Amino acid sequence: MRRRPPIELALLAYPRWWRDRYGPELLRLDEDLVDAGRSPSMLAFEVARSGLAVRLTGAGMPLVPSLRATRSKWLLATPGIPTVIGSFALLSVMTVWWSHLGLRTGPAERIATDLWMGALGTFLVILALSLAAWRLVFDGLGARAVRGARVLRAALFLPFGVLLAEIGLSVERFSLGVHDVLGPHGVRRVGSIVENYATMVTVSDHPVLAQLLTVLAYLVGYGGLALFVVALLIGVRRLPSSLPLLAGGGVVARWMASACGVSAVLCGVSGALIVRAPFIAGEKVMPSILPWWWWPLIAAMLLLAAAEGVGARAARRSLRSARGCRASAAP
Amino acid sequence: MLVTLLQRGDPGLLVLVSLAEGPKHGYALTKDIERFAGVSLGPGSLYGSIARLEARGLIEPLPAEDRRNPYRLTANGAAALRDELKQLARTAALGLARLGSMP
Repeated sequence: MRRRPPIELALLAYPRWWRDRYGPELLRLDEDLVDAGRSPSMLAFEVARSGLAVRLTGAGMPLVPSLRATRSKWLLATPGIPTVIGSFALLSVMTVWWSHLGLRTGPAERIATDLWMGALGTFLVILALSLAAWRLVFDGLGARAVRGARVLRAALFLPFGVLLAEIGLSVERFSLGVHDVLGPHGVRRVGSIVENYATMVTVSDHPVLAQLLTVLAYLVGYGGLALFVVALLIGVRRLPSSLPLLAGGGVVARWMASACGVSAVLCGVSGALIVRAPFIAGEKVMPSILPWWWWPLIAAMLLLAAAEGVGARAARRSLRSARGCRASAAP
Repeated sequence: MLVTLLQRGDPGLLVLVSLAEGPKHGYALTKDIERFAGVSLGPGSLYGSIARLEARGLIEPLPAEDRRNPYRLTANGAAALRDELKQLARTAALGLARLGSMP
């Protein structure tokens, strides 16, 4: 069997559309550079690194709907599968851990662990939806050429703000819920065993700190909503430059968002369902941490994700017309 | 826009400056950039820039010769490069003038 040179393997780091378009030229350049004395392994490493960057960011990808659809499928698969597997693994380990420690023997401990698991599920959903929101803003709807996307981008801040508000509500509900059900003694007991994971529980031992954190969480949460209202008041047209969130997003946020993608929504939903399976199975010992209005919210996020395709087509039309205008204006 | 690319480590501006001399393929671009800027580009970085510039309509490919695909500046690319270089020149002149006025 023929051994493939390192550069050909490194080229696999690029998406297929990129390889089809630039692969032969890049291989020819690599041959020339090796002939000129450059190290083949270093060149291969550089190509692999650049290929991963292109795969993550989609930089230089033509705005063709079929290509974007392929990219969406990959973005669904790459973080989605590990996340679902990881959620299962986490749940298994947690279940074994809790039973090993004998924590689920009494009703008080049972309620505490269920509360914690519920909070974990809520946190996963918040994280996933936030990442999805970032990606929609920066990767899909962030195309500057799309005027209509500004309206969608503005609409995106409503669920984003609500998500932030939910963080505040979760913290408050969690700390107060444990206090009400268990009392200070139970809180201390669970807190001493759970250690690192018991930040929110042990906070209840310090009423002033708990109050401060709750106020902070509310400020952050409703600050997000207020930001959305202010942005609307300023005007949709000026939105991209009026929000520091968009202006200062930076490369890290862009990369993070691109890596997670729309799939983060689905991962979050599946992760939450997995974590909350014991409650759904009938052992429900607490009011739902995930309120009913989360589900239309998630549906709205998915609709916005679908709008990405519309935005891409609009961007392509807009870019075409812009190029036509510039070409006709050129001497 | 191109200045931002340069700040991020994207050699797009260097590629445009090289192509301002005339059409070049990948290896000729690498050698030219190495000569005038002292930057030794790898194939991944170079073609990453080429792909971005082509997607923005600033450069365009010419017919390939022996798997070597030459590129040339478009009218938009030339205009964008001229604007950016003027801006850079203004910044450079201002900086040098301020340094010259220092004791």
